[in-house]
Amino acid sequence: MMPEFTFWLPVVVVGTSLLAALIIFALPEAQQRTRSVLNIGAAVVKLAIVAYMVQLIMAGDIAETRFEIVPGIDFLLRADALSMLFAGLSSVLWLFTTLYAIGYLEGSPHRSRFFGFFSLCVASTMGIALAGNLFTFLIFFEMLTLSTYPLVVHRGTEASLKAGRTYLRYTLSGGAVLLTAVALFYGLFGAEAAEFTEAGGFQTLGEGSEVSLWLTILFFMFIAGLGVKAALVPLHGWLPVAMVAPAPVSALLHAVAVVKAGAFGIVRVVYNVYGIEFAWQLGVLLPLAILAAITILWGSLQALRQIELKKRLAYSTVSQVSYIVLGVCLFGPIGTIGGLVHLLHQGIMKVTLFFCAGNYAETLGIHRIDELDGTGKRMPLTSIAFTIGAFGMIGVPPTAGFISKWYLASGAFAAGMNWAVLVLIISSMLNAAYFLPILYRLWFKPQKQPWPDEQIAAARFETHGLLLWPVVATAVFSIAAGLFAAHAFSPLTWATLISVREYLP
Amino acid sequence: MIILLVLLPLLLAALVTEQRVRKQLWIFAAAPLPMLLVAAGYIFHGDGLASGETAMVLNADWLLLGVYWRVSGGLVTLLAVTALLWLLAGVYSWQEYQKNPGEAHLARYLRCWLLTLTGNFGVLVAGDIASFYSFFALMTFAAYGLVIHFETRPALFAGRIYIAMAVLGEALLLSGLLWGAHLINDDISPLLRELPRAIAASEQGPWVALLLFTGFGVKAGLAGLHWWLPLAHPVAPTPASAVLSGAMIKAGLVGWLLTLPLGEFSVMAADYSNIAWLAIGLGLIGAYGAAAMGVFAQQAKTVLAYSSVSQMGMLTCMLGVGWLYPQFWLAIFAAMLAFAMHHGVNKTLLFLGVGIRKRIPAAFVPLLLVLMAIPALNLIGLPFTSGAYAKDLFKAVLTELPQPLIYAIFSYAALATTALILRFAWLLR
Amino acid sequence: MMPLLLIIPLAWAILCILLPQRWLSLTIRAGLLLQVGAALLLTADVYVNGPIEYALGDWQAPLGIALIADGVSVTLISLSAVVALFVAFYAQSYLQRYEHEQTYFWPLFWFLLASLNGIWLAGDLFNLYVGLELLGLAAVGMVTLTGEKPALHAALRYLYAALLGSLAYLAGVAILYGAYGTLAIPQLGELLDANITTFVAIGLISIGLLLKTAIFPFHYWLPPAHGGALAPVSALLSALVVKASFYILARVWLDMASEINSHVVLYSAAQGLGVLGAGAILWGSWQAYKAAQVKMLVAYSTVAQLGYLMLLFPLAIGTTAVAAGLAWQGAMLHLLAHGFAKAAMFMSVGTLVLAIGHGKVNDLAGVSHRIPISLFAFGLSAVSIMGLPPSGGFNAKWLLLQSAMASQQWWWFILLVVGGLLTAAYVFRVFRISFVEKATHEFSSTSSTLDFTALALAAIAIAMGFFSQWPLSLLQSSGFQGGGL
Repeated sequence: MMPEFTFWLPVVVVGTSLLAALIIFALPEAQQRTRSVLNIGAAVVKLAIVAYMVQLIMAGDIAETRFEIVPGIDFLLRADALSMLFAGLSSVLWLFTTLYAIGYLEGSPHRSRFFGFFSLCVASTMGIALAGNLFTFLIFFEMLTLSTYPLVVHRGTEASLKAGRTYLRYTLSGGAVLLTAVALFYGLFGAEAAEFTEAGGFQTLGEGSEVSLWLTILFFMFIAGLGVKAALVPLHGWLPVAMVAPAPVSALLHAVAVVKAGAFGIVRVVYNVYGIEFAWQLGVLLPLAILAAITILWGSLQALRQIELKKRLAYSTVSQVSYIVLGVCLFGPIGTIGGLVHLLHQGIMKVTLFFCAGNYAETLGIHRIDELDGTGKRMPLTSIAFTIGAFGMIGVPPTAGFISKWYLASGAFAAGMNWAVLVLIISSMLNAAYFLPILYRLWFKPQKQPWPDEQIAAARFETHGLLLWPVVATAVFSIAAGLFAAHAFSPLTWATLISVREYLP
Repeated sequence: MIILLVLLPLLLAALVTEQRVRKQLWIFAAAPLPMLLVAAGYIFHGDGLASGETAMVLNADWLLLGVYWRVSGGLVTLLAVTALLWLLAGVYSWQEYQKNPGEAHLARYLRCWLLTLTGNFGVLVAGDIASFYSFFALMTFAAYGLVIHFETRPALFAGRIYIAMAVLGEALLLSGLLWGAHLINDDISPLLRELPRAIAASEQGPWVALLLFTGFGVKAGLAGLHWWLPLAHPVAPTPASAVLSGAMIKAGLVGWLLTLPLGEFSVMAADYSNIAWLAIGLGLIGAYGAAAMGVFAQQAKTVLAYSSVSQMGMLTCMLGVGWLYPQFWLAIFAAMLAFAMHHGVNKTLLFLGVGIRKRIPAAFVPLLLVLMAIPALNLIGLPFTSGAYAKDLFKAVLTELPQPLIYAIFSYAALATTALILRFAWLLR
Repeated sequence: MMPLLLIIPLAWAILCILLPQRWLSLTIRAGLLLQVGAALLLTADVYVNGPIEYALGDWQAPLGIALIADGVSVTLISLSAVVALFVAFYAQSYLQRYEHEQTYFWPLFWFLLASLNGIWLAGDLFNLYVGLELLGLAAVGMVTLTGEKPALHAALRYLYAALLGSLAYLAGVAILYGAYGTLAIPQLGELLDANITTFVAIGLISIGLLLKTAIFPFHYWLPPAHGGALAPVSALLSALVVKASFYILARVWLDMASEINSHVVLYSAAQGLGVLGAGAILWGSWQAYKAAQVKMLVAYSTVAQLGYLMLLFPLAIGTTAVAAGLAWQGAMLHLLAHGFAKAAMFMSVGTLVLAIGHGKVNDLAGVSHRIPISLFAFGLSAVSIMGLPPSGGFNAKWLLLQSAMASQQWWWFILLVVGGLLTAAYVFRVFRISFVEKATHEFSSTSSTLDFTALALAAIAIAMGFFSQWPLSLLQSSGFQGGGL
């Protein structure tokens, strides 16, 4: 029997980047035009397919690819509502990051290698998004580790190699823990239970004491494995170190791929493996919420101490990603919405911030925060974008960050976890404490010394067009996602749609 | 329509450019004008808006978390006065900067001015919690640019205190609003007007009320949270101090009036008398304490700033009384609105006067001082002035209360104001 | 079809000696294609019709030479055919720099292939012995090819180990023949008694095979031999040759001794084999981590990887049928994946060494952009070797993990997980260096055939991550499935 047309859709989504990666690897270094066309083309195609799959889901049809990979275990890619949340984010941001990276790396060596692994990284991210069971998820999760390593060490300097080593130590160990957890889970509960289903697979399971003990242990093993990528304290050590990578990579690591893969994995485990209601009964959500809260505060506190722009942003990521985890743990639809929507919002805002940091570094050679004095005049659009991103992180309306925080806090109240609101508020204040001084330097301080290393002179625009427009676009998205949050095509609406399905009727 | 009115300053801000700002100074005056005309139209034309009525409703459920803006009968006068104050200060700025073409950071100043103005208008028209908070935050953060405009060392210091207090205030406020919104069950971002009832009906209400009281209190110069006021006013440009003290400080008050469970409710799940007494106490401390500090100040504008704290103390005291005796709330509410407007106008005029004093030749100074005596006496509350009118409204309520002490203390607060005004006059001479 | 698989390589071995140089290239290619075609046809035949027996010269067992093609043997035949195909293409390009070696390489190559096929198809212990002996000779011959002193030294050690192993094996076989009067595995399987004679025989056979498979602590000969030989030779040795003796070991334990292997002696011995495997994993990984020469690193990696195969015995013997089934599938999959991946790894490393002129790990700086495809091939094969998904190596590890769980032997579970991390530790040494910008060496250009043959094999190892169901179903389809499981 010929498989249906929709059988191939998920494979095609993953495959576009995979194919792009392979062709790019084979392309000679000098053929940059072909490479760019290929990159952008693949990104657009992917975006189109994702959009089509969203349509399918709206129509109640779910594209699914499934075949047996080892006896009893399926390779399963499935485009359900939750996966589209992540896939949509990745494909949109990939397009922008690709454009940005083309501009950023113009004239630098090893672009073939860079874009090859870049595409591979996106392919893995799409795989993570679409994975329909733990096994498939694990496959792409590890693939992501491998494909990001060359990006982290791309510059080939001593510092980046060291960062790469740290990165690997963390992620491979995390991967090993995750592998253990997944293997144990399959062994104990079978392949059926490991498939991602809405509202989870465990609502009907009787609660034997040994079973729940195992489930609890496994839950925390999952969290430990996924938490490395999601940069939960104390597993976050790799993230600030990995800042030596080029800006598009940092943007990708922080906003789209790596940390999100971890956070998304946690979402999957809580909602689609255990089921939120079951996890709540099991009593594992509260410890996770506390862990997330600690991470939120710790990340913010560390961010305060940083003097390098990218490092500060990195610690901010540590803090912000745990908002997602916290939202996941808030039992009740509102908290769920908050966590899910922050997955998108944080992505858009953080990518903006990292693009901006990249622009400052690339255009003026600015790396440290105290060098930013007066940059607002020299690079107004970038600085406006940075301001929007920073306000978003603080949670000032009408940015996307406000919507997230509003839902998270409402969710916390609804779940009866009022302390979580306190955490959110304190974190917002800390965010303000480390972002507002930067904004102050941008806009209010005069330039006091020549730019450290001006690479791109101010011409018609403040910097290279390919560096500028992606930033502007993501900044606009950051505002729009907040301003039009209640609109039918907003991230919030989609998150709401998912959230409704995750709770038992 | 209402969108245009509120966002007009924002749109104008987008027009401001570094190069052409000298020719764009008319924006200072143009931005608040349409709002003033519309609000005045509602007040003077026809029957006006009764306090329960709304006009120019915008109901956009696809914006933010569902936006609801309106011009409400209760606030339309305050809206008009606010617009008027901004207009006055704007005209002043226009004239001032036309004369001083060398002014640095003019474009930045104008942009911050317009953003703050948007926020201030928005606070008065926003009817849903999310957009109310948005505008409040916009106003708060944008005003930072006004405070530190001169970038002198004291200005920067004041700015730092201002922003720290602002962040603290926003945090308290956000917690309070969120908690309150949670108490209203059915909606993620409910309307402001449902908030008081929901808070009243909940046992957690006092906590929410306390958060909101302190959160708005930062802006309203509540004693203990007022530190930024005497620091910021003297160092800011004169028109900025004028709107800070005259208009923006009232946003805190509006916040109180809109969100706190004041008045009578069918269900009252908890006792608020403690918070009410706290308000009365802090109010009186503010009223007297600020005067005590203010008379030792060395700058006229500092004195005015302390005077603002003192006057806001009186308003806080009124709030407390109204909270304590819900049956009198409507009367006290009217008194507070009148007092707030009276203070806003007079304080703005005094601030602008201080600025003018520095610019004009010596020969005109006596004339100016005479003119300035009018708002000054108004503030003291001499008979037949707006101050007297506003205070009498309140005192009329006080006489009916079983608390004679409050009446006495409140009355003697006029002495504190007098002392401050005298000090002000002495410094200005 | 079966005799063809022996006749073709033997014929071509002779052809390669007789034919003049200029015809060689085409002849070899033709032979490779024939060989692959024959392997695939046989595979298809077995897949459809089940196991096939063939008596050479119509002499029936127990006297004659019986060839048996079941699911396992055809899988292994396909493995060796495919690996040999790519290695040969690689070698044709690689050996252009080694004019002298070329003349001896090809006959040995075909000879090696013939003996491998002989082992995969053999149905009795003596034929296995003959195959093993021929294989050992061919392999030792290949190691000596360069004629350099260290290579000769390594070859000598290899030869001693192989002979010693053969001796032990032969002694064990002799004892069995003395006791039971037959050497055919199926008959022995029915006859074996759990007595001291049998145990001694099995013990001797095992020690001999462990020596030949280079299982820790008998691995001492392998690294110099594999690490010192020419790249295509190393690829063949690591991917295929050591697997042959392991295959016999598995047959002896799980097929021949399937009836008695739950006896306490054998059960304990099986656990002991597992311990040796653990030692191999730990020691091999550690040595690989310390190795200064990149080829030694890969060679020690083989030592470690062979350790995983040893886990088959504790996981499959004396446990439940489910656990044993999983262990068998896992081990076989590991054998296949490692075969493809390690061949690819040796080939890609060979290219790198060829390009920079010598083989210190620390001299690999800058290869990532000079020789990207070979490095990428190395990377892909490393993914499989590390047991990271998606790869055949990962699926194999997964099955072994499941088996460890099913048999409740947590220690092997932990070993498998830790082993993966250790592997990553030494593999990433190479990557780390390769990304360093400053190249300290001149790079000589290398043919793209070298790149792409390695890449193809590595890609197969990765693809097995998605399609391991095919070989597994073939393994299960018929005949010997890890004995009476």
